Amino acid sequence: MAVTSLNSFLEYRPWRGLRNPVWMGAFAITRESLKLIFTRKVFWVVFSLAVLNFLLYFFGQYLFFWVADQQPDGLVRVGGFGRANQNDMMQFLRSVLKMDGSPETFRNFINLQSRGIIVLLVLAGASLLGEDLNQGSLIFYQSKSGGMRNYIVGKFLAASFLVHLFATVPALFLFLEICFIDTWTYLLYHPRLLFGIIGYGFVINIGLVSLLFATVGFFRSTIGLIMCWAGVFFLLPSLCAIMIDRLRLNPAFRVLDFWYCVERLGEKCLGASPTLLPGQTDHSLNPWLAVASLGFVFFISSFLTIQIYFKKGVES
Amino acid sequence: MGEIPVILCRNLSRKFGSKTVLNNVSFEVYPGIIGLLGPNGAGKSTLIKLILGLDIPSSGGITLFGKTKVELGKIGFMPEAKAIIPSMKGFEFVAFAGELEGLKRKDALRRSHEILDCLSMGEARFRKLGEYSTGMIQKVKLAQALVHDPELLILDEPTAGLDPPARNQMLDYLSYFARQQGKSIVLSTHLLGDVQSVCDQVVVLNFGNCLASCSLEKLVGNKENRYLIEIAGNQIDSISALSNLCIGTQDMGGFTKVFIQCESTAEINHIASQVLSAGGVIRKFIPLEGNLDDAFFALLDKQRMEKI
Repeated sequence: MAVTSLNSFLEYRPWRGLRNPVWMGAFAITRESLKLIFTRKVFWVVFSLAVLNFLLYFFGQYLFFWVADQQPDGLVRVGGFGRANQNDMMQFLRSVLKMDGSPETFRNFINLQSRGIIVLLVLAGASLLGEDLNQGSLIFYQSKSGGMRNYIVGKFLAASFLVHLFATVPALFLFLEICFIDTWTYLLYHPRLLFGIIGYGFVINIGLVSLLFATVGFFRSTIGLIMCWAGVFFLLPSLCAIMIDRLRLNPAFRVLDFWYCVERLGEKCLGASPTLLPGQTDHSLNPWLAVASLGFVFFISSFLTIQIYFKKGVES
Repeated sequence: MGEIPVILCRNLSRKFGSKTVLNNVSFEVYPGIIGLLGPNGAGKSTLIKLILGLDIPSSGGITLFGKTKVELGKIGFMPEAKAIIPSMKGFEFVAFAGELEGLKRKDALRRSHEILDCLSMGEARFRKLGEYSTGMIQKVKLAQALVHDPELLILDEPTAGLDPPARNQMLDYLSYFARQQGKSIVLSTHLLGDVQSVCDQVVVLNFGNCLASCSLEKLVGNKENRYLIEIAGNQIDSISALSNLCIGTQDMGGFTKVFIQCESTAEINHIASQVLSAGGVIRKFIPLEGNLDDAFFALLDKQRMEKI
């Protein structure tokens, strides 16, 4: 045996330090996964759009409360845009833009932000999870002390972080903004809104992340993911619209529209009144059916996640 | 061997539906480098997964260091698959593996650099894994298995795809970690030469059966003091001189082949002088070495014959 290179070894030193609990490895997985996402251009594009949307709502609300403080029925001057009637302006901000700090404000804001999350997860989800399947890296995670449990938790936390970064956290900022520019009694009078924002954030989190795990497990590539999510977020709503609005079938068929169910639950969390989309005739879906739909997706996705990720790791 | 076996398998079986991948496998191996040999589909990878606790045996059991519960923190695993994160730098990947084993971030980074220094990774550690050559990837994979200082290293095809110098270097590392750092190493490979170079013990699997589990020396056969002599010149008188010493010969046409076993130099000298005085010319005198290839294929043949 050739031992020529042995002389070049630096001495190996055994490790005698203290160790963290094994479950903390999940945070390392989260951190590295987020670093991976942050290196993607798509993240920064979607993030910029989300920030723009946030700023729109932030200053929209500010404008609303500022106009409300002006002399009643007077003309208000808005920057260099000329003068406008105070009532007209408040009416525009309240009824059209819905930037008045009502539950509908937060519902609309979170709904818009969640569109960004969907785009981000579709375009970057494959690198978050699919790469590990393609590179056969699951066995790497599986052979570590935390095993697949840490992997699933770590990746779930990473995807959840993105959801809350885009939806829940900015919505809470908007809520705090109103507390600052109005009075803190707003917080006392709208505790449901505060918990509703958090609740809606978690509904989106559970729905989208569990769907992401299951679909990436199947499709692995970005193209496959786009096709699948396009089906869930465009085809199913269109199908439900045809069934209910055109064919006049039972409105309960909306239970098939996963994203509608998520939004309906969000509305329930926030206490917002439902809005009818153009051409929509019936908007009533029992919230329990929406819960059942989300629960079904979560259950099936979790089952598939365990099946795919644990099995693939062992097979690789 | 009075010490605790590193791995003790008792009647280990693993079935996938009607297919038996491991069939009643029993063996015990002790500290050192253990070669896990077998052709494709022999059940090596399944056995490794069972040792790692990634899979559950259909029957039987495994104990590692005398314990039935697998402590993954005591094991370092180097998978055969690429199993890397291409966007990570070499040292980050090793540190990440350390963190997954419970090392603090700072310690994991320090430890990562130590191990990569030890494996002569130099500045390459600061490059992304996606840009690494096969040899570098194998080194990083070995580093990530070592980062938490495990007692047992399980290496699945560590020399696969390596050129001869890199292969020798990898085997040197294995010898170093086993002989000087006291680590036990399970080396799963198809390359019999690798096993013969570094292993102390071997476990041979085929079609899910354990064909042998013993020291390499025992498997290869004790061929100490055996020699091959080729005789030219006056072969007739040489053969008769050797037959007087009760030594059998093989006529090879132009020369005669003789296998002898001698315990002492005097005995060798005596045989040589008898041949030379009979007019023979000794054209070759080779000490015989055991060959793992022969022993391995003999085991496979034996199993095949038993099946027939």
